[in-house]
Amino acid sequence: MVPYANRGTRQHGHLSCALLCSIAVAIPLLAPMVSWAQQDQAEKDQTVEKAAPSTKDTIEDLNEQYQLKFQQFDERIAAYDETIADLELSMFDDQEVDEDQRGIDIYGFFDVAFVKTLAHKGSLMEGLTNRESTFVLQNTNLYFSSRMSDSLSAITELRFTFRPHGNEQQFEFPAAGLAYERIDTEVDDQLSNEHFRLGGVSIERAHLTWQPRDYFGLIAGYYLTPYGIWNEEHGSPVRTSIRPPHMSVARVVPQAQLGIAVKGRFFPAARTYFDYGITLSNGRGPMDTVMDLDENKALGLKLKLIYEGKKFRLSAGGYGYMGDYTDIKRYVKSVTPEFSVGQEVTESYSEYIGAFDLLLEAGDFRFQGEYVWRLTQYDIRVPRPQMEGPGYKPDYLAYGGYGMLSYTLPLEHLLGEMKLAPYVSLEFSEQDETIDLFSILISVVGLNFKPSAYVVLKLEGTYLHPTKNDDFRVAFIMAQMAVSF
Amino acid sequence: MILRTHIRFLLIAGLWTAVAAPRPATADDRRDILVVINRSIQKKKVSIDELRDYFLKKRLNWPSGRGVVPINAKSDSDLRAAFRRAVLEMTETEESRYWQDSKIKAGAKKPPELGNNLRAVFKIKGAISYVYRRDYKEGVVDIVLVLPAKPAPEPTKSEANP
Repeated sequence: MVPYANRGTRQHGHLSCALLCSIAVAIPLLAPMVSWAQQDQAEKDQTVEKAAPSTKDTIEDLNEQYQLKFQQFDERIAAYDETIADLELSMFDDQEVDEDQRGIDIYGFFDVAFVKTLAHKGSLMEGLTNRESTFVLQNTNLYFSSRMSDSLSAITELRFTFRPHGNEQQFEFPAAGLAYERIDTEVDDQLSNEHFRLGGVSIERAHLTWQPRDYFGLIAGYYLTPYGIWNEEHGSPVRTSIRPPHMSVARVVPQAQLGIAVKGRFFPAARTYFDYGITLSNGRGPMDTVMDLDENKALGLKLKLIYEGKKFRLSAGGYGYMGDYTDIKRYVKSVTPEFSVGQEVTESYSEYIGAFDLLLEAGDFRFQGEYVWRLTQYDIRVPRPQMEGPGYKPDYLAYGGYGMLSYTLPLEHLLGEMKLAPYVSLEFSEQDETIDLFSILISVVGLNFKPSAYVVLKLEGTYLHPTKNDDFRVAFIMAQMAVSF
Repeated sequence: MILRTHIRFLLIAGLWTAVAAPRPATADDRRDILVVINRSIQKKKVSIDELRDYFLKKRLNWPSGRGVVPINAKSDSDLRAAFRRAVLEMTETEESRYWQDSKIKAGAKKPPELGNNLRAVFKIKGAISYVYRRDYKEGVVDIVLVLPAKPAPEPTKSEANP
């Protein structure tokens, strides 16, 4: 019996022999087949190589087409999105904005004051002023404004007044044969027999503004002179105090002008503005709001720098003006042989004005100050009024200024958003340096209370004392309610 | 040394993930105020100071010359209150006073107040307004400034008296 292991070895030897014989037979047989296969592969490769350029082109073409298609799809999707958004958003009625911005706005302000004048007994001022306390409706201003387009707007401001009713024209002076005269505008309706008093209307401003750019705008019409703080704040609800500065009352600078103006604003840095204005107008005249009586137009230049920080605000500005004042009279020159009318200049002077202003706000403190200066040089002089002395009017200098300090009390815990601010002001005015009477000092102490955005209440004590004539000393106690609507 | 490099790499990777990876909008994000402009205005960015100028009408024109049309949210909305606080630095009363005074001084007119600012800005050339991020619609208007949400210090009228 052959052991199991030996049996396997013998079998394995037989199998190996058979395998070798098979390979020996197969090699000669397979060799031509391999050669054919290699030849076939080479031929195939050659075909592919020949076909490759055209396939690449096709693929690239297809790729391009697909890219185009994708782009078209993207565009369509964007267009659909836009249409959907458009449809959704078209629900918005832009008429609403148009009407809001383009329509005519009517608004305004008025103020009611209570005044008590305190003059020295027997003084000239006691006779000149009203001794009894009185309520006064000082300003009733109505605005009509419209924005016709993004760059075009117009504004008209009218001041309604009970005046000239009550205006005193003349004091009684029997020695000169003068009787007391006061304007009375009372009329009656003959049908109903109702009596009523006619009042007056004053045009404060009426102009068109074309502002195509921030740095360039054009104003045409009757506009406020762009000077100072008081004149630009304009309305009693905006101003801190009740009584206007004397330099404003004396009209050292014309308060408004009829003509054209260029204005604009530059932005040199964040929260910083540089404003300019150039004015060309009829200038000052006896009837400058109606017509100019000379060919020399008045020219003015305003420059102002403003910085508005979070807790600090500063503005400093100046305005220079030069213009001619001319008054004339017309007279019949001859009747025969020809009727002719001549005209003669009765008064003529040139004026040169400088105005400076400073506003400083730091926290709850606010300081505002203005200074104006005017030189008047006559070409044709007129006689002085009797109270100014004998002779003709000389060239003269007028100047004046004020400084006002106010402090908003920190009473938020008590008053909420209502503001209470005491203020003091000191003012000097030299209306005509050649006349002693017109040199005055004015001290003001007051309280400004803003209970809401639309109402301002003020209480003010004023002491006016001429520096060279004690007879003109007078004090006023005033309360005012100014309302904007 | 190798360990330190690995730690550094992990830190950088973690930081990058925190900063750059998209994250889900939180409630605060949704109350971010987006300042949006009409697409006719070729402007990429508006600073907060410029924005203040536009809404207080201290600047009237875009650099292209087109008139600026600022559009406010409704006066009693919390969006308006947030914008007023963040940009105008005013309270409601102070803003009212500002416009009353500006009207009297120079005839200035306050911007219109609308309920749907996004639609208004989409429609009106030159318009600028603001919306909460949650109300923003992609592809309709351009965003020029994002004011991150801040907690409201005081309830508005509408919140106090619903």
